[in-house]
Amino acid sequence: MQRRQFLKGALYGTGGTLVALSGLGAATAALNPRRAAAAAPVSRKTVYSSCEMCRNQCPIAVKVENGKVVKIDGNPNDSAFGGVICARGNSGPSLLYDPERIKKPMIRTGERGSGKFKEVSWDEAYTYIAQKLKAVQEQYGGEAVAQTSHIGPYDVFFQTIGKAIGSPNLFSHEATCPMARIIGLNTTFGTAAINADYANTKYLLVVGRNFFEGIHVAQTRAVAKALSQGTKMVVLDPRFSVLAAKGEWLPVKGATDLAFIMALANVLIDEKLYDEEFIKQYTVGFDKWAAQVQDKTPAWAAEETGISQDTIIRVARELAQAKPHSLIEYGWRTTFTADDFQLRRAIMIVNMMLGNFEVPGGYYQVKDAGTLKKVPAMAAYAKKLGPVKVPPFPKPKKGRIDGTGEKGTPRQLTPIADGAVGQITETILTGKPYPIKAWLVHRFNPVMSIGDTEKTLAAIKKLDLLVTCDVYMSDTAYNSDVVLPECTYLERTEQVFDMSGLTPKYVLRQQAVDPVYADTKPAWQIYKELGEKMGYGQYFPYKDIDDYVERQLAPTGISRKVFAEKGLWTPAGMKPFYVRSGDAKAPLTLLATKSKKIEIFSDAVQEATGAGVPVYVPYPQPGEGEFRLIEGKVAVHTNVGTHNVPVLHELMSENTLWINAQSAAKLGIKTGDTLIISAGKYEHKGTANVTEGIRPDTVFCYHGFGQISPQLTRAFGKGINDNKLIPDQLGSVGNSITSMTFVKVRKA
Amino acid sequence: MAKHYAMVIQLKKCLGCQACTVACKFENKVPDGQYRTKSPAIGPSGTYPNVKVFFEKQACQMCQDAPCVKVCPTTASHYNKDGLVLIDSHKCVGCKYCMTACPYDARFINKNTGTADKCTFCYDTRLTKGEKPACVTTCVGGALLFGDANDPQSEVARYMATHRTEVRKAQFGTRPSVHYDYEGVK
Amino acid sequence: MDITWGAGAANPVIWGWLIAVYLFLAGIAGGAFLTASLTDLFKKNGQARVIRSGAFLAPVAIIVGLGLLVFDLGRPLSFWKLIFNVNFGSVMSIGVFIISIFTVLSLLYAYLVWTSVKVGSKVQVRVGRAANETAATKAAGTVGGRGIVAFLGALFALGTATYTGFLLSAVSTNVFWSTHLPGIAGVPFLPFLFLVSALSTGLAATLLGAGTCDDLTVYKKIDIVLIVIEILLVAVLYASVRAVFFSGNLAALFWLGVVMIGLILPLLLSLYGVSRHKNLVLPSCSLVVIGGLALRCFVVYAGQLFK
Ligand code: SF4
Ligand code: SF4
Ligand code: SF4
Ligand code: SF4
Repeated sequence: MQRRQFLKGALYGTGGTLVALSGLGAATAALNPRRAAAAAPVSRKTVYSSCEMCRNQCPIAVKVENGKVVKIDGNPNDSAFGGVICARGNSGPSLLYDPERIKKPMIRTGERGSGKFKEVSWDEAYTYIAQKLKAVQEQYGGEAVAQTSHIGPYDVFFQTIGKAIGSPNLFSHEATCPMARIIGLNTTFGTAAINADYANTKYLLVVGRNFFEGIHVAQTRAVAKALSQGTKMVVLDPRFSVLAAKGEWLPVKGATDLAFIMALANVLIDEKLYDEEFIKQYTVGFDKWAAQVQDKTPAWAAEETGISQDTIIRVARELAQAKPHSLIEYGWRTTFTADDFQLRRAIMIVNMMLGNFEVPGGYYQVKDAGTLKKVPAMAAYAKKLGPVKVPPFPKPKKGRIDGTGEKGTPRQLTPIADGAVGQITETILTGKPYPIKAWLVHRFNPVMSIGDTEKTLAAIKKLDLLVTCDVYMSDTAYNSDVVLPECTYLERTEQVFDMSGLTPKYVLRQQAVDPVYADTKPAWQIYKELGEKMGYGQYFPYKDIDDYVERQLAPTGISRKVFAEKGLWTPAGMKPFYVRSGDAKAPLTLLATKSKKIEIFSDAVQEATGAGVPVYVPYPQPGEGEFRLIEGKVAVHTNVGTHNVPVLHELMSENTLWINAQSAAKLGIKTGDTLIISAGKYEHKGTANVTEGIRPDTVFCYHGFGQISPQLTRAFGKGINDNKLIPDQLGSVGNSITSMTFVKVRKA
Repeated sequence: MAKHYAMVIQLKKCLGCQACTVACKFENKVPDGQYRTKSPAIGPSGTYPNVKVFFEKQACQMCQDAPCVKVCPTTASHYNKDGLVLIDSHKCVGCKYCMTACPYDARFINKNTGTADKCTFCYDTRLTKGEKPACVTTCVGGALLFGDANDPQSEVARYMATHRTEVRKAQFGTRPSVHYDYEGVK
Repeated sequence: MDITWGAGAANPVIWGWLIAVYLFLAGIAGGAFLTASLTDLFKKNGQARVIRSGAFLAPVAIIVGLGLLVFDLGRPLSFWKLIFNVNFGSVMSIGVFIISIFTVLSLLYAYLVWTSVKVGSKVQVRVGRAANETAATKAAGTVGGRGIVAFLGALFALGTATYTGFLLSAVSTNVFWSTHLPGIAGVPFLPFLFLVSALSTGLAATLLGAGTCDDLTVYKKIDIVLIVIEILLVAVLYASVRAVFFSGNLAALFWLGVVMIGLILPLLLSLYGVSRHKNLVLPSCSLVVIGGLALRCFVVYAGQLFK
């Protein structure tokens, strides 16, 4: 390049007088930063790691040039991902180098929510937090400290603090997302580690999930692969999602999905289309279910759901025809109604009627090391990660604020690791059953995620301490007393993750570059240091994260080098393992239920709710002039976490309110109009998007917009914060309910 | 035989997820607010509940009869030895004539360099290293095929031999190397 | 902004008002030079004021125009590369040479006119002789180098004025710009329109610069002819392309700016002026100039806004 430039210059130079001009050219060329960079020697490396632009932890290959991340690719060594990552995953460097990240620990100086903070050293921050926590602990007891995180590898370290304090009130965000499914699976299979083999299915019925906008790369690709092989897909969704666009769209009336599912069961039984052998061999309680769906005819369901009887019958027959390689998807965000977990159970029960368990194109139990060990032929592939032992934690003195685990109530079914996160604000405000005075939040944004933004803000005002650790000044961080800056996933190593599917799989997040902002730290270090400051050093017995990883890997015999070279480990030579693929009668020894059967009738659910098989509950429908407000994901954003990431903000900076064309016409609304969306107590402005792609009784917006932290300068105030309109309403098992909000819409 | 790089876009597989959009930005250091490629929704069309929508990945079509090359006053826009339309940014003065000539709105003036910019099929950044373009490798829907159309064994050649593909705005006679399969979306 | 669901369309206008004004000024320069040089060449004892006005206006207009053009470049400082990287297939590349030569010739011509005027005035002031001598000096200039410069310059002025049309019409993918003469597929339309408009606006601007003068009837008559031709051309354009190009915001620009201000009003005023006020140029000429600017803006924008 240089030489060519020179020769060209020389040629021009022969023109004599032109020499000067070439000089000018060379000078401008030298000023061009891209060329200047190309001339300097470049050190290049690829670091295998794991994405964290959302929770899915897709394996990635990070390209680093001269100590800077220049590009992130998918890790080509993982065939489930095929080197693919989504738009958010691709945007990692934009987050990493964003000057709007939080760079230093901060303590509030002004009023709560004034955004006035002073930068402090880590030691000052730890000391402050330790003192405040101690004060709360002394006055109210350790149970007055609540902890919430999104859910992730950091929990091991983060929750150690709460456990050491003796608080039972540790929450994940799952109650606002997949918890109803988890409970549905737990109560039916004894474990939630049940995956679907989308890629090999021949018929896919999806209930409200949206693989093509709520992207989970491996699963999204698997569905896409199935479709390209001719799989038929039917999508139940009040909104015409991208997924619906790729299949047959059935615009189901909101909150009536269970009617559709029960009618499927009704048809399968009525027409004797279900897998009787399977039901007989592997399940218990089918007769009770059959009795329950006996009157749930397609005609009845058509009334409930707004989907025609013929369609319901056809879908049932098609599912049966393709069985056992047909499946009904069990859902991702499962917060539709108060009893959403029963819908998830019902879905799995009809799946079992299709006999699609442990066969290609059906559901299967995750084959992690612990599970595989139980199968003698497979035990050799099972390399269980070592435990990192810590001393026993003190037993909490009181039960949880949300009643999780209480026998004889629905909350007996709530997973103890998750809890009902929506309860926290209620408890803070009412002091019932006992006060919560301190709240530690890690990589979670309750202000935008627990229903009713205003209520959460009001609750925060009553706290003695709110600590938020994040990468951005999130809406919750902005209202906190102490803000701790975590470094991004590209700047930290974490413990080994178990990402097993049909074979075991371990993935390691590995630091790609030094922290861009020197005062940001990884979660393990933050909580270890805080713990040590509080005198809980014994619960953090490892030196650092590398030591932790060593302890995990020690019993497996897997070398850390494997991760450096490939980014992941799977047992060599092991093929995807379905228990029943060769022998349809193979015993399901892996089942984790007490009965060792798939529990169509669940004693636990019976005990907790009185409905051992799912029972249909009709929910209210929007009245005249009302709309059901639903929300969903968009492919370029994650929850409420990425709206300020420069590149992603650029792709989509604002959401709109989707409203059916006929309904809009009645209200005189046109696309682009400013609207007032009223949920009674609260109103929110929004921009209209008049579309044919939604039910006339429903409005929709993408979630996570309209952020209220002014220090997210890009995302601040742009679009609709649906969370302000959705009340903090909890379902039977503590799940947040997000699809039961009715709103009125008018032109501003 | 000379190479003829071509891309096939199977629209029914494109999810509009914009992974390609972002991958391209980082691979090719495209400035903020500018894009070499985008995949906007076309639609929705139809009336409730019979609605359709699809996503159309748009970028330089690598015309074999490229109006941008024809009008470029400095020969900065040129065909390289593999027949790709590329821009020599040392020659480009940023007159934008090529932009007015491109019927696909594929070009823009790069904010950092002041010169015309567009999709290069990742020629410098990947092709010359034996890699496929960044958008192709990251495509979540698996909608993008890429290869040498002159090689009958290549993925694109085989696909085009067995499927009906179209080029956009054929009326301009630009003979694009990017082929669209509209099967299942129209 | 939402790149997936729309509202993400980029600004479709690639060449904005800077280029429209540049095209307009290039037209003015060409027209002014032609006015001056043709007067110089063909009218014995011609209108010294008209010659001076046109000769000075041309280089100023073209240089300001080129300034705008360079300013509009993505890399203004690299404009010189246009001269060293030639693409004979590109209208712009050829245009660079036409305009460069024209600029040089117009400067030279302006210099020659300037010096002769100075000599002339010196003669007048110091010697105080009759105008005979002045005329003689001028004649000598015209016959010598100045004549050649005027002649060559006129050719390149013609080229410059036409080039502005070719620049746009060569964009074969732009339906509006590349409109051809009705019935003759190979012959683009815009060069004719822009040439006539250039002559008309250049003449008008020159007359404005000349101020009050002796008998301008000839110029006015020429102007009327030019306006009539332009009206015909605009009518042809209107008839031969889709109506959408004349819609939206551009409708006002077209009907008010191009048609009313630029063509109809000046035509009426000129007809009136020729018969009544021999020396009245101002209102009609200003209108023609404004109309010429409106025409360039209209064509530049219409071609891009409606593809
Ligand atoms: S789905 Fe996308 S954002 Fe989430 S982990 Fe995977 S690549 Fe990253
Ligand atoms: S698409 Fe546009 S930029 Fe690309 S080769 Fe064709 S005309 Fe040129
Ligand atoms: S081929 Fe390369 S330059 Fe072109 S759109 Fe894809 S990633 Fe961008
Ligand atoms: S990455 Fe693939 S699926 Fe996603 S928008 Fe681009 S072309 Fe479509």
